[in-house]
Amino acid sequence: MSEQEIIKEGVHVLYDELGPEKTVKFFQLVGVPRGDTLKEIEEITEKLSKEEALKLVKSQQ
Amino acid sequence: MLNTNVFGRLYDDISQNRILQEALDCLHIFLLSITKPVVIKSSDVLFAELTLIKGEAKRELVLGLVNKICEERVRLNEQIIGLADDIYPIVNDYMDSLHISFAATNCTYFATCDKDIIKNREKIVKLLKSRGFNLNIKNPSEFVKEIK
Repeated sequence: MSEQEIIKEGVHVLYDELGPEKTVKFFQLVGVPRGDTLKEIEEITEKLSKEEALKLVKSQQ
Repeated sequence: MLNTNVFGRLYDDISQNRILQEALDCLHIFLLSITKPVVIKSSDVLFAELTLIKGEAKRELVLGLVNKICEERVRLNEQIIGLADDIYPIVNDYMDSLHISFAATNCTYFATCDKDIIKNREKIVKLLKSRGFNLNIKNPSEFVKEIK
């Protein structure tokens, strides 16, 4: 099993067992949170053209 | 509809006071959705932006939250693209204009932590009204106060 698969399975188990509120508290307690999602996304999206943005969105359909 | 940064706030660095306060407001929104006065919709643009979050663990956590909280996924269509084209000159970020367009065509509220969108919301709302859409754009704190 890859690291990505282990993380994915672990997150799903926690959400199912603890619910969203306790899962959030759990990850805050163990120190996973970091960075600024707004900045991380904006640094990339502000450079995208319309065509690049639509290509990214369509890739997730 | 919630901007991607609202879902991500819970897993951001809350040692900064501003981020901590926004994270608490975002958690309040998620709790409102669980007790049902609020229905949160996802969209193709939300799932696209989730792929841009740095760090595998954080990305999976935010995705897990989206999958637990959102009840319906709105799909991209020509109407949404056309409206995004109109919004773009105000926000200068096509992904932002798409997200606002998804919200305007399917929801009553759009909540975001993005101060640039909040700063320009009067212009955005006016444009949307001229196209026949009524959207309330709020930061998480304003949204919680209005809904609860």
